[in-house]
Amino acid sequence: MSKDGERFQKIIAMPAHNFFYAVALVSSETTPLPIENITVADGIVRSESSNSCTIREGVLLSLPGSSVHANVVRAFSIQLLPTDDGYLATSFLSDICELELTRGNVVRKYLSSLLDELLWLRENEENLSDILMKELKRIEEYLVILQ
Amino acid sequence: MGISVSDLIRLAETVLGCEREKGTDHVRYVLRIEKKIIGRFKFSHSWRKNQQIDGYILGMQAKSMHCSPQTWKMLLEGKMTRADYFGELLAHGVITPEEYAQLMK
Repeated sequence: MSKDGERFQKIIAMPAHNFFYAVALVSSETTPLPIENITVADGIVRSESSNSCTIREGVLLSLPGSSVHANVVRAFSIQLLPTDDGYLATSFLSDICELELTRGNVVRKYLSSLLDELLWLRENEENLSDILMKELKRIEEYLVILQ
Repeated sequence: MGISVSDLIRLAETVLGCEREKGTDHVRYVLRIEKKIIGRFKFSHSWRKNQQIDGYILGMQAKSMHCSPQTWKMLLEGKMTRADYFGELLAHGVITPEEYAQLMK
């Protein structure tokens, strides 16, 4: 079966009410939803009962306004903490955090911020302290930038 | 009155001497000794200067700047000096005595 066929199988296996809710959470009027982001949307829906959103292997990350993409090669979790101003997103991969009003927005923001951080760490690799070098290596175990 | 984005900018630029890097979505502050990057933190362009910063975010920033949340908060409130902060970095082995001396110049 082709890769697109495999992805489609995963999508149609998702419960219908979750699928449309998931698409609404992640897509916007101006941002088309790549097929890979369906798995992110599914993770966001599942996070509602656990405050933890799993980003699965195979998810494609991108930076808004950029042609840079990265592939998730190992699954990891984003922790979602409810606050007065919305949701805070963090993960063990990096010391960055993001704050947005909704779960969908904060997960999407966190993923692009994580990719941005990876690019910045790589750009400055020669000058990183030991602690920051460890963070770079840790992220690189989970995300691979596509050339 | 809590800690605002303005307090964060003041601490980074005036007290610690961090370099400001402007990205597409975020502002990043970087603490360097010569070329070596010791710590960094960033926040979204969408944050207003008078926006109050959540305590959890302050904790994450403290972690990325290699100090305790209490130290970071006291720095932001002006109750601790750069010498205290760099002394904490030295005590925890984040910087060497030579690097401490350079930072204190």
